[in-house]
Amino acid sequence: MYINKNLSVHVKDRLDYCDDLVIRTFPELKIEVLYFGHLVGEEELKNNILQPFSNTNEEEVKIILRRKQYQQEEDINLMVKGVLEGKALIIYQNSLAYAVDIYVPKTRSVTPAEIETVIVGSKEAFIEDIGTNLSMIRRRIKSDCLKVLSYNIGTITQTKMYLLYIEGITSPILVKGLQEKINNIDTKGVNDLNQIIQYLDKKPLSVFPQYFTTERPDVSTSKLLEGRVLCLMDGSPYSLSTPTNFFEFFQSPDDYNQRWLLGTLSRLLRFAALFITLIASAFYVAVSMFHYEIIPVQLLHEFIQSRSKVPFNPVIEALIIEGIIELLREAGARLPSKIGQTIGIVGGIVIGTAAVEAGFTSNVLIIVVSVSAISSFVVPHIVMTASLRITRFFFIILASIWGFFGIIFGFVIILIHLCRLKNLGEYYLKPISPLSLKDIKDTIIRAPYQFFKK
Amino acid sequence: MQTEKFKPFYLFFITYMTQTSIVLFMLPNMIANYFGYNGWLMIIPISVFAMIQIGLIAGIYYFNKGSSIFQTIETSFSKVNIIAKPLYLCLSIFWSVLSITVAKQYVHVMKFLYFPQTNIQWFVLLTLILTYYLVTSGIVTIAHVSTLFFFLSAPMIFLLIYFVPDFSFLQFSTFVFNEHNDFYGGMIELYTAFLGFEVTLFMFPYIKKEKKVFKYVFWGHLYTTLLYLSVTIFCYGFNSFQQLNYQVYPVINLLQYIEFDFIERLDSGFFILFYLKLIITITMYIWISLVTFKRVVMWSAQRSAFALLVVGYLVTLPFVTKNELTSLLSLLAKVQILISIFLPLLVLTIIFLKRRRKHV
Repeated sequence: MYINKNLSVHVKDRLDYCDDLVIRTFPELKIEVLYFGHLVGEEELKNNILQPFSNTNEEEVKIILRRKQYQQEEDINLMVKGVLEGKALIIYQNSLAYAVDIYVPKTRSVTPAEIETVIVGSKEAFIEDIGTNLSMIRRRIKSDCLKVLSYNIGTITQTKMYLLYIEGITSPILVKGLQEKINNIDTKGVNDLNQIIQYLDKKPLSVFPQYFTTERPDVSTSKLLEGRVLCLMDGSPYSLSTPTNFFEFFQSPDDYNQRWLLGTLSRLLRFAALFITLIASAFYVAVSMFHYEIIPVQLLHEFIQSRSKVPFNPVIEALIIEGIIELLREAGARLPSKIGQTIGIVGGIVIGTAAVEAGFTSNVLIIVVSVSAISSFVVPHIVMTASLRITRFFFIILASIWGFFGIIFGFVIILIHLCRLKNLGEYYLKPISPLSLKDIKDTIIRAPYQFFKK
Repeated sequence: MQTEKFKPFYLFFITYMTQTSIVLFMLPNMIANYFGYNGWLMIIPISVFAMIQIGLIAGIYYFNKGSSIFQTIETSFSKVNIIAKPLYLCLSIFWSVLSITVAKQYVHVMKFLYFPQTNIQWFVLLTLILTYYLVTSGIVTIAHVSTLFFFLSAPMIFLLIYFVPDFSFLQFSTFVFNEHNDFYGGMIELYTAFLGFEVTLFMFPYIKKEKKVFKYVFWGHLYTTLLYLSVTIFCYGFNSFQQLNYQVYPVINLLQYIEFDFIERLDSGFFILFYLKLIITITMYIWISLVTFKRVVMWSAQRSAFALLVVGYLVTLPFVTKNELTSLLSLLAKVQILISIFLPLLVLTIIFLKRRRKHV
């Protein structure tokens, strides 16, 4: 909408009932400046508005406004949008408008990663400001091939989002595919990148995460170099990358920063942990309900003795203890870290020991459930850990009905589901399904760098 | 829409996974009963015969240039559809019944050995659910899943190492085929163990075109032969001939012998892990049933698969006991042998007739 008369009234009309809007006037210069005080920087305001217009006259104003930082706007929608984005709008003679970017976000400084911690390697993590996050990536990839496309998500919130890819490495089909998906998001607003993911999910009913998110700029950079598309969103200290595969959730920067043998062994350990966390409790239930014959004779006596006091069916027993573990975990996540430790003591010692002594559960199950819980935390990615926890209950119930057959049934269902899952045309279980032997060197194992092709 | 295709090396996994099924557990007993002492030698000529059949299928693939055999049949004569369509329907129902009988026989053994109190219908229904889920995913996903299941189940072959210390060549004796009965009947029974390669006949349009596509089917078949040979040889070397004659499931007896420090007996686990192979076997037969059915009825894959599974389930419903299932499967397998021999021959004949007509 183009207006060149009574511009000030029209803009103010659009920003009516916005008490946080600051209007400064310079009557002798016929200038009005509009901005939101909490979006702009003091220094920037002083340098671009206050100082240039304080000691000047009407003749010089025209010269000042010709400077490159003052960008003339003619569309009233863009003027309002500019003010909302932290620009100062200079209205001259009530008919001309100039926008000057003096946006300085008030965010926290860059801090070490809290969830995806590493032993060796960079410590910094993304913060809520998209500009800072983008700068962290640009600092790591100094190439003109790194392309950044900008989007605004949410009809009301207009949250800024960047789509990043490296030209020449990333397939243009992937970029186009994600662009289409982003353009199709129909929502009033989003608060976090993790919400965006749920809009993008192809199979929203799947229990497994279909997009990889990370709070680490080094991981994001490596995803870009692997040919993936990356997204950053204002207000979210995460990046998302796609296409995602299952094995990414079991990788940690430590694997790459440490020597290859250690990296490989850590990875294999994580896959063992995946297996243990999924079926440890289910295995206990299956053995104690259907397959006693597998327990060695020496252990059988102890096993039966520990179960003899328990009045419940093994499945009820397992579900109670798994439920308690879930409560402890949820309470630990919500509480401040200092009180969180108390929860650990209460849960670990008080409930664990007391439950066995009270005859609520057998001590064998306490060991099994603890090993299963510890194994679930070995998986480096928190979203995958959550998925595996849910799946664990599925296995316990199946094992209680059909023993080992139930466990195998569960596995077959999950494996078929994983083989069917696709993300932007790429299979989720690649390189295992479809099989690609050359890619296995950086999924199941971490081969020495000399084995990787450029 | 372009058909999604898979790379030819998946044929190795599909062939092997479709061929091996519950019969592996009975094979040494069957061989001992039919062929007597050193009966395992018979695996080789039967395997070679199956290989000739694979050769015929490979020939069709090359003459057909990878296009569907249905197209070849339907475009052969002007009024062929009048015969072909009802035949397709019969074949598709037959394969559905065959696959569900195979599944039923497996779950029957499982119930008999490990879940005496569970109703067999539960296991059948669960198997049907999995088969439906897998078969409706499409052949490319089936190929991927069979590869994955291969790697999960194939390491079981290393369990044979456990029997090396107790293996004795003396058990073989110097007799060859002594105490055999019904040699020809045995050959037919043994040939049924190799069935499964014929599903590749229906896969032509779904295979990416490369050189020597069918070498993977040969490799898959050779791997099956190797597995049968090693399991049977180990059974012959571990048990006496008389023991082998009496054990209905000698391979399960072998598995029961395995004992680790921390595990007393895990035969149930191993047997149930074998379910991964079973799922592929039945899925492949349901899949060929599905593609045949879809030539006649224009339903969606989901609806067709559901209908076929229901029909198969209902037809096999009255067969519950071991004897009933064994005789039904034996009959169906014999019909399948005829199909596996005559269908490739029929298609080859059509191809040659068409070629001659072209030249004329």
